[in-house]
Amino acid sequence: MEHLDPELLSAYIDHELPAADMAAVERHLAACDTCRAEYEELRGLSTLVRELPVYQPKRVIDVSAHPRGGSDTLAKIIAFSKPLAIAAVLLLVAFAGLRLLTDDEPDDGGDQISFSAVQPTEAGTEVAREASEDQAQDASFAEAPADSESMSEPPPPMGAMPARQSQTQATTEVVASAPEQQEAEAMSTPTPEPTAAATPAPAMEPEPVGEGNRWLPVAIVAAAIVALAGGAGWYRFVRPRRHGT
Amino acid sequence: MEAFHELVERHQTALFNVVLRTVKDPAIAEDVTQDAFVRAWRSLGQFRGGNVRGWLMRIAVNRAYDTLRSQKRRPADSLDAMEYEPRAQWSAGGAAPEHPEGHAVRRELSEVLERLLAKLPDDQRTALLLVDLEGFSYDEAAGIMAVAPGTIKSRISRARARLREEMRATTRDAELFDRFLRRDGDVLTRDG
Repeated sequence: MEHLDPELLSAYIDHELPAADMAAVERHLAACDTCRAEYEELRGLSTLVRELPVYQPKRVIDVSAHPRGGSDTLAKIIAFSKPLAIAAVLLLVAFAGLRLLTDDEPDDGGDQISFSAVQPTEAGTEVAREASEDQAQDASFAEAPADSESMSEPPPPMGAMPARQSQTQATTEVVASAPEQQEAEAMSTPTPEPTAAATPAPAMEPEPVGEGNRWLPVAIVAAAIVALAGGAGWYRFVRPRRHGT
Repeated sequence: MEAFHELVERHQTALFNVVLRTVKDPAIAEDVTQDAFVRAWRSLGQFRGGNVRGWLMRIAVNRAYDTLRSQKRRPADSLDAMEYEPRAQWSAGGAAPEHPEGHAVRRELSEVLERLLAKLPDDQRTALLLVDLEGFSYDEAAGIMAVAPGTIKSRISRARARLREEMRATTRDAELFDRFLRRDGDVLTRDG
């Protein structure tokens, strides 16, 4: 005779099997001494755990000194400050990095200037892309270790999934906008005298080396970082969650 | 606040007893239980209704696990030094022993079981305590531990198998267990 799977027997003891399975196990137990003996031992252990001593805590639980978390708005504002602070730090780092790169570029003349107009932007975009990728990574890793924190709040409802997808879409759109922006700038280059700027032409600006255009990609990247931080913060702290038990 | 105090009164013992067997130190268990209720109080606005006992237990279990992770060392057999007086528990759940010898066997077996429970992996022990000690269903325990019900079923089965193995590993423990099974055998049969 084939014996019962211990897991099945354990679930039977806990009345956690469908009715048909419960009946099947009962019939087997009536006919199999080995399984019957195992059942009685497991059942005995279950009883012993159920009847373990019940201890009373001595300290009186007192929460009166703590603010109640009923004010969602205030709690959200306070909770939001953390990712905003992270975003602010990242912005400062990105700006500082870009300033350093900008200051390091040589200033040798017109053509060189045009290259320097391009390279810092690409480098800046690269730095900012890495920063935004790091931020996205941080946001996703923040989900896991903070689970112990988040588990104290109810688990995410199924409906929260679109929020994560929309955040990913936002990330994709923002990152995609940077190369698109570069392409747009390249395409908008009027070439009335193509020979004059033949080599650097793809990268030349009509009003090429103006301060405003140089900082435009930086502003875009900064906005992306803030959007990522805000999205991560909303997802982590603010998104309404449903109790899962 | 009044309603929350009522929640505390109703559920603090359950939380404390699970936390106690998790962190294995009464003083730490008190801290963790207090902290769990403070967190519950602070996040009351986020509770969307449902099983409040499960919600509270989830907070408590998570805090206990956080504490375990941050502890440098894990005290062994701290329950032996506990100052707490157990409430009479024989009337809860199964039938009371018929005579003093049965009572003595149960008491000694409880001490054995506490020792063996402490040796279980944390997840197996927690699952077993939630279902057997606190009476949660597999689904409820799964929600508390943020795992699938099948995982709870598996952890409990492994926990029981391991307890059984440990109980049989020592002659004295095995004799005690056999006496318990024989003496309560007819009761278990009636309940089964």
